[in-house]
Parts: sequence; C-alpha cells; structure tokens
Amino acid sequence: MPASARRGLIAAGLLAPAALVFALLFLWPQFGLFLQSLEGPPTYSRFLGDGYYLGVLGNSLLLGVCVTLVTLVLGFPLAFLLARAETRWAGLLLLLTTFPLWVSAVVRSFAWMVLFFRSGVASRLLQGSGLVPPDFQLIGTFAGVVIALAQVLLPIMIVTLYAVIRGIDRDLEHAAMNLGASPAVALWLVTLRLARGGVLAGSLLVFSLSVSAFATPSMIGGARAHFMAVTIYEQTLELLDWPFAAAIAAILLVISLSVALTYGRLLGERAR
Amino acid sequence: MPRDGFMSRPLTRRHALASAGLAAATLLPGRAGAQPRFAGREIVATAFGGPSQDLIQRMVYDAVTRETGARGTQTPLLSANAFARMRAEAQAPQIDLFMFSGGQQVPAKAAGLTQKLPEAPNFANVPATLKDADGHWVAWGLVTEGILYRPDKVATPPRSYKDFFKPEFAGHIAFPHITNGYGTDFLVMLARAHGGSESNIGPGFEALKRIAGRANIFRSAAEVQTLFASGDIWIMPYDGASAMRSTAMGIPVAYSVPEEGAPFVLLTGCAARRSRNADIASAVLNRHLDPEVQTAIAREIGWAPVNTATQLPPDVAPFMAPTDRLATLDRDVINASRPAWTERFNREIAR
Amino acid sequence: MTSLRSPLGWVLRALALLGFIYLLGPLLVIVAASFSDTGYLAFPPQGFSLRWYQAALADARYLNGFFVSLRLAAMVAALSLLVGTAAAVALTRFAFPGSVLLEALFLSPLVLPALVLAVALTLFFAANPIAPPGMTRLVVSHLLVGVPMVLRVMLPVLRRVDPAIEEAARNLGASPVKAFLLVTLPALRPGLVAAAALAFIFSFDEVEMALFLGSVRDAPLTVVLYGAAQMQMDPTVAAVSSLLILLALLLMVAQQVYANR
Repeated sequence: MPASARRGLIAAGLLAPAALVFALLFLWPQFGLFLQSLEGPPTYSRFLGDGYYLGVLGNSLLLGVCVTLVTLVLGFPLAFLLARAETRWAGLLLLLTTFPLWVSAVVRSFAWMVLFFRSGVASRLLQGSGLVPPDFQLIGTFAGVVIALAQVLLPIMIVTLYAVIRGIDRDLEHAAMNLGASPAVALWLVTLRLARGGVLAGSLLVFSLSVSAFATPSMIGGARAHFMAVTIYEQTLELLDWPFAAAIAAILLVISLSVALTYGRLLGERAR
Repeated sequence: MPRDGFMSRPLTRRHALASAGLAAATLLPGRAGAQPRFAGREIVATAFGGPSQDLIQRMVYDAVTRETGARGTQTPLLSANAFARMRAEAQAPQIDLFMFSGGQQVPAKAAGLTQKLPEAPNFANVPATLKDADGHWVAWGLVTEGILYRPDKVATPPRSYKDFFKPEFAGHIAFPHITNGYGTDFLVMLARAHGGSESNIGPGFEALKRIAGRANIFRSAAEVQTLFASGDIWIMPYDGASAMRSTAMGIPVAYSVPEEGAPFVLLTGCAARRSRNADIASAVLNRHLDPEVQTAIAREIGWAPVNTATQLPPDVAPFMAPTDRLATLDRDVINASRPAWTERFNREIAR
Repeated sequence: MTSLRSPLGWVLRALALLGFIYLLGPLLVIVAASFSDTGYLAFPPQGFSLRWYQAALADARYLNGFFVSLRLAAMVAALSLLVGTAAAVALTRFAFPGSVLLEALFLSPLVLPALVLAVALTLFFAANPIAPPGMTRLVVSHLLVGVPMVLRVMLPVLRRVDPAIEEAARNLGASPVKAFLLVTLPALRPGLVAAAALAFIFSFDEVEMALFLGSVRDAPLTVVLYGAAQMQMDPTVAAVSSLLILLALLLMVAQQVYANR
C-alpha cells in the first residue's frame, strides 16, 4: 500500500468517530428541523425583512463580541501568569478560576441579580461613581448581561489559553530578549504571537457559547433581552412556531459561523 | 369579602364519611385484599417542582403506590418545556402524564397528542368548565391572579389595576413578560380597565406602555421572591400562591383581588396519546382530586381546589379570590392573538 | 521571570487580580446566602443558619443527582477526549480537502442554543430509537458539545507541538505510534487535561438536553436543581452549590498537597 493511501486511511480512521457522531446526531436531526423551516408560510423572509429581528441578530452578535473581548482582556493576564508561575500552587489557582463553572448558570444568575438590583452592591457602586442616574440598575441592561455572561465564560477562556501558553517554549521568549528586545516587547511579540492559536480557540468557544446562551441573558436582561437564543426559546416553547424557530436557528448558525471563520482568517491561525 | 374560597361548600357529614372511605372505594373498587390492580407497573409524570412536587409525591403518588401497586415518578418540567417534549416525542413518549399550568392541554388535544382518560369517581365533582368534554383532560387545581404588594411599603392596599398608575409606585413596579401567562392576563385586564377587551387590546398596550419604562419586566416565576426581597419592588400582578410562598419565606407580600376581577389559570393533567398507562394516570388525577389532597395543596401551596366537595380551610382565604370575584377571560381569542401580541410586546413594551 | 517585573508585568498582575475578584465575587454571594437565616437569597445575608445545609443533605435527590451527574460527566469527558483528540490529530497532522469546512461543522453545535439541540434530538430519537432512553441518550447527546470543546482546545495545542520532534524520534527508529506516545503525548498533557475538564464541566452543568433526554428516574443534579428553583429560589439551592464548591476545593487541595510532597 502506498504511503499516501495509508496516511489517508489513518486520517479517515481518526476522523470517523467524530464524523459518525456529528452525522447521526447533528446533521440528521438538524436537517429535519431545517426542513420544518421551509414548510408553511415563509419564515426566512419574515426574519430577514424585519428590522426588529435584524436588530435581535445584531444584538446577539454584539453580545458575542463584547463577551469575547472582556474574557480576553481579563483572561489573558490570568492564563499567562498562571502558566508562567514558578509557585507549585499555580495548578490550584488555575482550578480556582474554574469555580464559577461548578455553580449552575441559573444559580449564578440569581447571584448577579441580587448584585444588580437598584439596591444591589454592583448597582450601588455605579450610582456612587456618579456615572449613572441615582435610580440606575444593571438588571435589564445590555451591560448587565455582558458582565454576568462574561463571568460565566471567563474560565473557558482561561483554561484554553493556559493549555496553549503552557505549550509555548519559554526559550523563545528568552531568545527574543537576548536579541535585544525589552521584556515587554518580547512578551507581546513572542508570547502573544505564539498563543494566537489559543486566543482563536478561546475566542471561538466564548463567542459561540455567548450567542447561544439563554439562561443568563433571559434572567439578567429580563424582557429587554432581545437576543437570538431568547427569541428561539420564545418561538419554540411559548408560541409553538417551530418552523420559524428552526429558521431563526439556521440563520444564527450561518451568520455566527461566518463571523467566527472570518475572525479565524484574520488571525491567520492556519498560517502559523 | 366572603371568607370562603373557590368552589367550596360547607363540609357535610355525608361528605366527611365519603372522604374517609374514598381511597379504598375509588382505587380498589370492591376488591379489597385482592391483587393490587396496577401491580408492578410504573407511571412517569411531569411536575411543577419545588415544594409542590414533594407534597404531591407524598400525598398522591405514594398513596397510589400503596393502593394499586403502581410506582410513580415525577420529573420537574415547566408547562412550556413539557409541551415541547410532549410534541417532540409524540411517537414514543417517555412521559405518561403531563401537567400543564398554561392551558397547553387545549392545543395538545387539538394536535392529537392526548387520549381519553378512563373515568374516575372524583372527576364527576369537577365543574364541567374545568374539564374536557371528551374526557382528555381534567383540572385538579386553580390559581387565582391579582395584585401582589409589600404591605410594609404600600400604605393603602391596591384595589384596582388602575392603581399601577399611582405616582408613588413609579420605579417600584414589576410585571411578567407576555410569554409568562400572567403577563398576558395582566395585559388583558389593563385593556378591560381602560375600555378595551380581549378583542380590542389596544388600550391595554397603551396602558402598559405608560408604566413599562420604569418597570422591571421579568420572565421566570422563580424571580418573584427575589424581586420582592430586593426591596425595590413593591407591587406586581401575579398569583395568590406566590404571595403565600413569599410570606412563608419571610418576605411580607400581600395579595389583593382587584375590583376588575381576578383572572385564573387551571392546573390540568392529560395522558400522552401513546402512553399505555392512561388508567394509572386517571387514578393519579383522581387522587389529586380527593378532598383531603385538595385541602393540603390549598393550604401548603396555595392552589385552590376544583373538587366542589372540598371544604376550603379558612387560613388560605387571604391568598385566593372567592368564586364570585373571578374574571373569566376568553382564552380562545387570547390564544389566537398570542403571536401578534408577543410581537407587539417585544417591540413596544420591552424596549 | 524578568518580564513580569516590568511595568507591563504589573499591569498584567493588576488585571489578573481583577479577574479573580470578578470570577469569585458572585460565588461569595451564593456561599453567603447559603448561611442566611432568611428564606430567600439575600446579600449581605441576614442572620446565620445551617438549616439549608440540613435540608440539602436530608434530601436524597441531591446526593443521588450528584452521583448521576458525576457518572454522566465522566463518561462524556472520556468519550469527548477520545473522539475529539482523534479528530484534532487528523485535522492537524494530515492535509485533506474540506478540513476548514469540517472545523466549522464541529463548531456548529456550540453556536446553537441548547434547546434547539434538545428538541431536534428528541424528535430524532423518537423516530429512530438507536440508543436506549436515559443515560445512554444523554451521554451521546452531550458529545455534540463535548467533542467541539475538546477539538477547539486541542487544535492549537497540537499545532504548537513541533511535528519535527516526532519526526526526529521516528528517524531514530521509533514507530509512529511509539513516537506519538513518547514524544508528542507528554507535550499535549496540559491541553488534554484542560480539554477533558471543559467537557466534564459542561456536561455536569447542562440542563436542556438533560431535561429532554435524560433518565426520569435518575435525574442529574442540574435537573434536580431546576426543579427546586422552579417556583422559588430558596437557599437550599445555594447550599447545594456551596457544597459543590467546597468539594471541588477539597479535591484540589488534596491533589496539590499530594503532588507537592
């Protein structure tokens, strides 16, 4: 057997389990839903021809971008310091960052609600700063949803970045410094560049999980949570319009994947 | 205000006797000592969770197991989720008995997802309007809506849906989203209070718009206590049972029956069409309807009895609207208008 | 670490500290509320009481749910790790057409709200009962999210591991499998641990698919909590969450003490 054919066979064998799971449990069932979206009155034009729904789509994408940015800005320093820490307790600290994930999203959202009410600690802090009116509350605001959702997803960003930064050869950083670069420049140029794959992976995970999140946006945002996932829940559970819900899901899938893949291209992950 | 609750009538001697002997009479008809009639079988049902699930497990399912041999398992599922699951697994149901609080039994029956329940003795004591004419579903509880308020913050108890417009309540109002059944009913009652109706909802939206700007619009029932406990919220349209629960949790919340009347929702049960346990479902629902169980549910959960033979305990009266103060809404018009109202609500109110 | 003593290092530290406060602050609310004497979540808490812990420990459903969830999450993590890593190796070590499309496909389930997956899978299993209802269905359904998580973490990790080293080992006479096990696998360890942890935690915390597809008799902890928080949010739920945090903490400290010995 020629080497290339053997390599192809190995690749196929490695991919087969994942392909089987996805073909059977994702493509097939989702295709069934997609067929539903084509039945009855037009669904796609109803969504795409309506400014309100386009706004909902925009909100969801904006939420995804904001949450991704917040988790990146806060997550990178944490992941970097933990990956580079000399202390033997670094592993413990890393696991400490995953604590929010152990508490169910609903319970966590209740905690945020308690902080976000007008008389809650977080809203009080903002009122005290004078940046917002005295009866301001974070409940029911876009900012509130971003803050609460980013906390939930931050551990995912940290863990992903950590895994990649740990794999980066530290000699490369030292080499850059030896070549005359200042530590700061070396850090940015070398580490950030080498961690690009991790930044991409973490961003894609966080972005995807943000646009599909339901519990946190609906509880913190309340009625003012005009997001795709919330609309899909509303159409599926309350209005029982499954064709329309399936169409919204299909639109969300296509648009979000396009955004994610464009981002991946921009980061040039594959070029390394 | 009459102190007796919904559909109650004085406890008679005859009824007390009937109640005492009821379990044996209905669940083991004339076969005392024989092989339990559902021995070795099992029924799976949805439940509304929390303390109600525990109470019903104790008083209904455990009793049915003792008397018929059928084991009962409850799984918590909100009505909307339950209906979605019922629809999705219509071909091969994993759940036999579905409990609904949002009127889902009507579309479920219309979609052919239910089956006729075998007759059971207590069904006869449920008024005809609270059960399906073809026997596909039966109500076993009723929740009366109205105005909830913090008596420690509100000096004069609210008496009308128009009280939401009092200036002192601005910034202290919460109301449920329209996808929550109580949100829809609030909209309809506001319309009625302002010269509108189910078929003329415009005045309702106009009124809602006036308070929505500074109101907290929430989606899930579990948030009611958290909202009241925050101290920011003083008044909201919700149900008496929630007021009762809040009071039990240590949050002062009172229930007021508005002069426009109290809308209500039914708690119903129906069996999945392909379930092979409709007979057990019937026995379970029958047990729900036992006056003893109806009373316990009223006292501990705040859901009013629907079995007319039930004597309502006086201590639950502050949390339930009496029969003559109930407002009957036109559910057919409401259900038909729901998609349009939701669209309008999302665009005009929830901004 | 020289670069950390620079001003930039201090900025990094400040941001990291802020990150920690932000991550753990809301948890403080939950832990504090679990000791509260009030029947609702309150912060700052009022009074002190252990009755919510009593209630949580007395209710067998929580403990049973915890063990069901543990079993579920362990199976999902192990299977996701296996299936996802294999796919990641294929995508990084072998060039073939359509690999970008495959990567997109593998990311797709994360973009869809869990309800969409749950409804589609319920419809699918009702029509094609290829897996027995209950635990098996839930495990394979959770793979839809577990595998993409593993895959996403492992892709960059695998790309960072220099294939040249593996090549060198093979040139020195090691078989491809041996080269992978001896050279590549140790370098992948942090990635594998992280990927498994994400899949585990996701499955442990997932509600919708568990509600639609899980076993009714052996309900995972999330479903028990969903039921408990349905009509009201009482501090029992906060007590259960605090116990989980405590357990995680104890396991971590024990592991660290053991490792540092």
